[in-house]
Amino acid sequence: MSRPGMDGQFGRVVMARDGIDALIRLLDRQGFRVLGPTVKDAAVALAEISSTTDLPVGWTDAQDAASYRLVKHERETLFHYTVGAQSWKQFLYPSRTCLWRARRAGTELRIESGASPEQKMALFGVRSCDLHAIGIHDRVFAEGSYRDPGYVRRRSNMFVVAVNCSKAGATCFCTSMSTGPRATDGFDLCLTELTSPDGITYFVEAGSSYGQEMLAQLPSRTANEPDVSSVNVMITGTIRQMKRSLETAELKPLLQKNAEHRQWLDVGKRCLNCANCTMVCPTCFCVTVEDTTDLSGNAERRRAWDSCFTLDYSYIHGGHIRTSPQARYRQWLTHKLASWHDQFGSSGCVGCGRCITWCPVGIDITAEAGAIRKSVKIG
Amino acid sequence: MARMKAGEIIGIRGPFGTPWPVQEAEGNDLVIIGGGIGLAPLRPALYYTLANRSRFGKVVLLYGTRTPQDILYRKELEALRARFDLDVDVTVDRAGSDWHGDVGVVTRLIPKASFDPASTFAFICGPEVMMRFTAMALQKREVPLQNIYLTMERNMKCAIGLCGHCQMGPLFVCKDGPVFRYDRIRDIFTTREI
Repeated sequence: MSRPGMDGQFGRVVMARDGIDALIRLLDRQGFRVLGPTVKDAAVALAEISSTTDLPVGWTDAQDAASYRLVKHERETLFHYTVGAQSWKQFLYPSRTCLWRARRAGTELRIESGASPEQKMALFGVRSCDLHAIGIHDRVFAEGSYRDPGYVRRRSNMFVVAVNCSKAGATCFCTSMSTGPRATDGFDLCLTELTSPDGITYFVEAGSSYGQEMLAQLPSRTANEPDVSSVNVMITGTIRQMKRSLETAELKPLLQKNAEHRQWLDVGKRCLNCANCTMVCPTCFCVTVEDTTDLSGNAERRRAWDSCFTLDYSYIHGGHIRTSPQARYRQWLTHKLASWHDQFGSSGCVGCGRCITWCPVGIDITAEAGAIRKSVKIG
Repeated sequence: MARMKAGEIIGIRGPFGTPWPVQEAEGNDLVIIGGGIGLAPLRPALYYTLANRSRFGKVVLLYGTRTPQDILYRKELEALRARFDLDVDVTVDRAGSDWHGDVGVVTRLIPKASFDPASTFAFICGPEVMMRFTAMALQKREVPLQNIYLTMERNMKCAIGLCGHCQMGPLFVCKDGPVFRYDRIRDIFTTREI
């Protein structure tokens, strides 16, 4: 709901699990639809939650290229896992939207907005990488020369509860992209789950005055220096766990100057063009627009997520621009890591690792970009 | 659309994107080069030029299409050909014995066209392969690259840079184009499948 505060400007408290439950209830009472991580189909999935029992309590995840498993954790933790396949874009920029509809009334056409009333949302358990992804979407949908009214509306009514990551997944590389694991920006409240032999507590800091107001209504005690250093120790541990990395220095010119590199052909042979990476990517925003008409003459203009990996994506009168798998992979990777800078002033990648985990053949964006860098250096 | 009747409703959004730089071209010779249906987007530029004829030097229209039957705006072109302040040259890829004009690709009209390369602007619209060779032929006559403009086409679903489809490297054809200065897109333009 807000832009972030300066460090230390807002309060920091420590609470037990009942404080988190009180927060969820408070958000509900204030009219928010509270969305957070749950367990569904053997994975962490985002859905409506009404108490901490809806969270993946005592679960952790094991991720790798083309692999995702939920594993039992020895403690009753609420947040000891990283991101699942879904990202918050499914709520902020839904996969299917009606833009407008037209109804025939005699000889007239009546145009109506496709927007239906929506409840304001509280995003609960947002990781730092995903906060940055939302920041990137803000630049695309809310800060450019054309705005998406639906996105702007949902975004401006939103409450964000961030969570600092207590572990790094094997596909995570947020440290390379400077997008985590500590949430520094763009939240109303930020939670850190602290596990000690004595029990599990939650360090909570406010990032906005609204967050501060909420915090004041929750059962807690004021945080002290040892609490702050526990948070720092935990985050340092997460950073140490991060195995994957992506060298970003001069990455944009490197990719833009190597459009004909043989690595594209190599990855083109492995890529199935299934579009999974674009669906799970928290920043991929491509959409298609379709008009439909029923027999009574009523029409709808609908928008749906699309992917640069499909053949139809580049279709123009009688032909496709990108027929080869390597051209489509090159489009995706160079857009994400290079031309995004030209278009929106930052990288389009937040290092969440979803595209690596959910690629059915385990193609790794960090390895593909790394292979080009390596060969160019040698050559 | 051609089958619609009077009173029916058409929705229009726009205009979007970049136009032909007709005002920038004033004071220079202007060569307008169309391929096939690509003549249509050039027509407003031609009519602007003719409406402001005194502001331009020589004005040349070069048009190439598949067969004599495919010539777009044929009657208009025949009328324009009668003017003394405009050169119109047409060529077709193939024709029967009843065609007495040029046969061959449009680039073959460029070496013999009358304009002063150093102070010439060129507007090109047609299939990408035609635009590529046309730009090369103009380069050969030493038309400055920054005076050559061409218009790109890509799949578009929004026209406001949000659907992603029309990307060509870092450019959105819908809002950064469709009319581009050749020297600014040459590297992308000559990369296959980008």
